[in-house]
Amino acid sequence: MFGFPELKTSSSRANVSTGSLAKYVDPQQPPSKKKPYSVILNQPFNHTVQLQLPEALYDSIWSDVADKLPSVQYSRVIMPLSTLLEGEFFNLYIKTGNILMLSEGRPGIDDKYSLKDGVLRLDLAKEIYERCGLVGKVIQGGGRKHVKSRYAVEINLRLPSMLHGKKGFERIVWAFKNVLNSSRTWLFHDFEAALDSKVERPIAKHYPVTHICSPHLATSQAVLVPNLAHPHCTSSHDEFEHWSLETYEWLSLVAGGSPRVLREDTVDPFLSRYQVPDANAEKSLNLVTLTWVGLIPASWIRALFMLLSAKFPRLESHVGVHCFFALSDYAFKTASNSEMGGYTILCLADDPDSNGADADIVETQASKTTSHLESCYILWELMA
Amino acid sequence: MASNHSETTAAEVNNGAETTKPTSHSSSRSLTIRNPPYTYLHLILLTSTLSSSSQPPVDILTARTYLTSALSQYLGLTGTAIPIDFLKVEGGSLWIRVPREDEVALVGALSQWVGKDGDVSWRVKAKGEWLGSVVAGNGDHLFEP
Repeated sequence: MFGFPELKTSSSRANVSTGSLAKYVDPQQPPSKKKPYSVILNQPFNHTVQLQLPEALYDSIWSDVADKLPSVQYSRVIMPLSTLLEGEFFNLYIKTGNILMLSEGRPGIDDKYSLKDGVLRLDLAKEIYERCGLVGKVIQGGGRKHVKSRYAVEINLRLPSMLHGKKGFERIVWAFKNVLNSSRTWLFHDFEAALDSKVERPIAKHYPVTHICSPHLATSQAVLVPNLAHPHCTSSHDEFEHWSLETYEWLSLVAGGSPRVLREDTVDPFLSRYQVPDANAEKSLNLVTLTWVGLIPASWIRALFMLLSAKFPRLESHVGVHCFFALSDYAFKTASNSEMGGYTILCLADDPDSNGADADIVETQASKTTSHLESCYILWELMA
Repeated sequence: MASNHSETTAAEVNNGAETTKPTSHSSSRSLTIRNPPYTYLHLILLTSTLSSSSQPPVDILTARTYLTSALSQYLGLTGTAIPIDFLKVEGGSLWIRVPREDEVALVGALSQWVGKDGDVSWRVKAKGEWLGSVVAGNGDHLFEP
């Protein structure tokens, strides 16, 4: 009517999947191929991690989890690309050790560099790419076709050929000295920082500002809780889609500290028509949200998830109350094209009380279900 | 006869429910959500530094008035019919949700609007179809000292 471009389809989508959690996970051999672990590991550069759980659950398990959870730290440092290839930094961090680095810049607009597992990725505009003399691939832009405006160069610095004096390597050194020579702000995470904190690491030369990520705790009192038990597999596709949209929205509202989910909220429908789906006014919970902010590696998030899920099925005492936790994670965008922007894992203990419809059937099986509580997960993978 | 028949079907249904129950959670299923219904926006109210030294907090009714003013200026009466849900108001920040189809109209209306003789205006800090991402932001503040 107003001549606005019609939004027929949105580029953003979410994959929702459900499954049951493994009863036992060997901490020495953490899984990497199976969902949800594969999704956690697939997202290397994370800036925000949120954990939501009922206060009763938090009180009973968190001190234990926090003891076992490794601390995570990151540094902000200003340096040019050429530093990566210099002496100690190159040998200790890239060849023998492992670091995670990400440079500042808007994806798809500025030049952006990232380093992960020894692979350096340079996201470059066409002019810079043509000057630097390195071989890369075209990045498909979202808009016009057949216009090559950006290129991605990926260099594996751990290859045996990547040594000072080799021809291909000298080419990179030349490019970093003559073309890509500006200083950038980087976020830096060293996977081995905690091992020998007394010895000075090569990063110290560049005056890094180091932060230790500690959780920010926020408690929401008397939150209305929707029906978290997801619809049965016999239910229709639409019903499941509806449930996943509403539950994700509710989890995000709690994480954002919105008053709309509180029991005491008396906002006029003129200002907000949001209602907690299937809310029961007598059933309200105090929810705790823990938020970590920083450059957080995927392996740490997996460690957190494993500690929580290991604690989780053994909570016979909590049967009858809502027993769940939700872990959300949001990533830095490293490329302009569509990629995963975040995910949320909601873990539920199979709670017999939540399925009121089949109450009498469940009662007969109650003794069995408490003895082997099965926990399931629902996973939202968000693509922006 | 008829009643007897209905009883057996009821028993069958009950039986069916019992057999599907144990597998309800253990089985996995997946789906892709396309075209989510809402767009979420994180707005910031900008006030000119001349009139006040610090950013005053905005309350929900003032915010609603400003938004209605912007929408009616840009789209007339139809603009005021766009349903806006206020999810959170904190300081000068505002988190709202609108139907996805109205996002373009709302952003257009906000970007051209100045109120109170040029003293206040809106800035769209973040927008997206997933509220969690809008709340978490893009992490750019970590690069700032």
